[in-house]
Amino acid sequence: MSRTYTFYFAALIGTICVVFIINLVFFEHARTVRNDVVQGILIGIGLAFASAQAYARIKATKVNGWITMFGLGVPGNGMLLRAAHAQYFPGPVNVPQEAMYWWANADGAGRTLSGAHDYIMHFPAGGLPPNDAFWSLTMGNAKNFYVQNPINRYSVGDRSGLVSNADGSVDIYIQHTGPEGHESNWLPAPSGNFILWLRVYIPGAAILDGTYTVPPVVKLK
Amino acid sequence: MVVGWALGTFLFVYFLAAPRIQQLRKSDPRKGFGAGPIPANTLYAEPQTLFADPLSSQSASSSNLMTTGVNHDTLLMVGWLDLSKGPRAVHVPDMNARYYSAQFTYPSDGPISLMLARTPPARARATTSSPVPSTAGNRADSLPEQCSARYRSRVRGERQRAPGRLCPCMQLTPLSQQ
Repeated sequence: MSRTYTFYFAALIGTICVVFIINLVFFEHARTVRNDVVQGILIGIGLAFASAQAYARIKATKVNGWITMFGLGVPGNGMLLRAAHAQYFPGPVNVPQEAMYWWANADGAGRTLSGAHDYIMHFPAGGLPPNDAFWSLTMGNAKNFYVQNPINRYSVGDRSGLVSNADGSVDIYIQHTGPEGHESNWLPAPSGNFILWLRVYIPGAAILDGTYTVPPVVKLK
Repeated sequence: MVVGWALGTFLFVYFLAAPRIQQLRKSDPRKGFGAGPIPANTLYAEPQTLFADPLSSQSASSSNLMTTGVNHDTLLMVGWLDLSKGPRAVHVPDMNARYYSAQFTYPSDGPISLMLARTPPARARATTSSPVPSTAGNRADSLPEQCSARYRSRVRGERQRAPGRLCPCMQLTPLSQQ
């Protein structure tokens, strides 16, 4: 299920729970202990799912279409925060001092990323992600699987031989077919919708304090 | 009814993150990554052919955890630690300034991570003896008796991603053998 559908699903579950509770409070019902417990647990699960989704939305930071969360994997996170983190970043992620993660399924203008279009990601001179290890930009299809491509390239980063522009800036071309003359900076996309992951290992202070901004993915005309 | 709500909410929120970790437990030690189950306290390195070509090298019977959640940055070494019979030592060979990390993830708490410091070459010690979970230097103290261990090491440039020797592997041994 895509993250967009997950949100709508959570909203639906939350609405059903609220309607159920209102109905329960304002209308009389024949009640048994067994029914109360079963219904209570089901409503509880629904409320918990909706709460975790809502809290994840609150705690997530979205800039230029990129979504991240601070404090992932930190021992001492409360159970609600852990549940919220698991909504957007499931799996054994690193703590922030080890790695920071962003993902995007929409461009800077909020439109769903699709291989039907060509995109560019422009890092200004000196604007590559600050780090003490390395960084990468990885492509996943709509189901977050690797994407087959003719050059067997699944990600680009500081070890990919990206070619800088004359002014020191770096453009990454994200599209289904190779950009003529810019193949070295090409991150192959599938023909359908896709997700981008940006990972920065041992991120710099500007990332950890939230002052670094990931540039938007811009649709080419 | 209200008790049921509270119970259901608590249980679901508390364990919401846990299924993914249980999936790790099921995949890493029980299913393996193409060469059968991985015994506890054994580290298994992602096959280099799988890393180089994650789309066509995947075994149908193996776990797909290495090829989902796209991450082509680091070579994974995974295992399931069982510290009930004593502490273990992780030997990290000389990585020649190559990035690596060691991460422990608890089965019950979801994506909670403890990281070991990098002082390569290093011998790291994983133990359950201290009262508070912590990492200091090369020690990971008070781990639960069972947890997932994942070691990541950076892979060199793309030209070196062809099947072959991508990076040296870490080893896990009983601490008494050190």
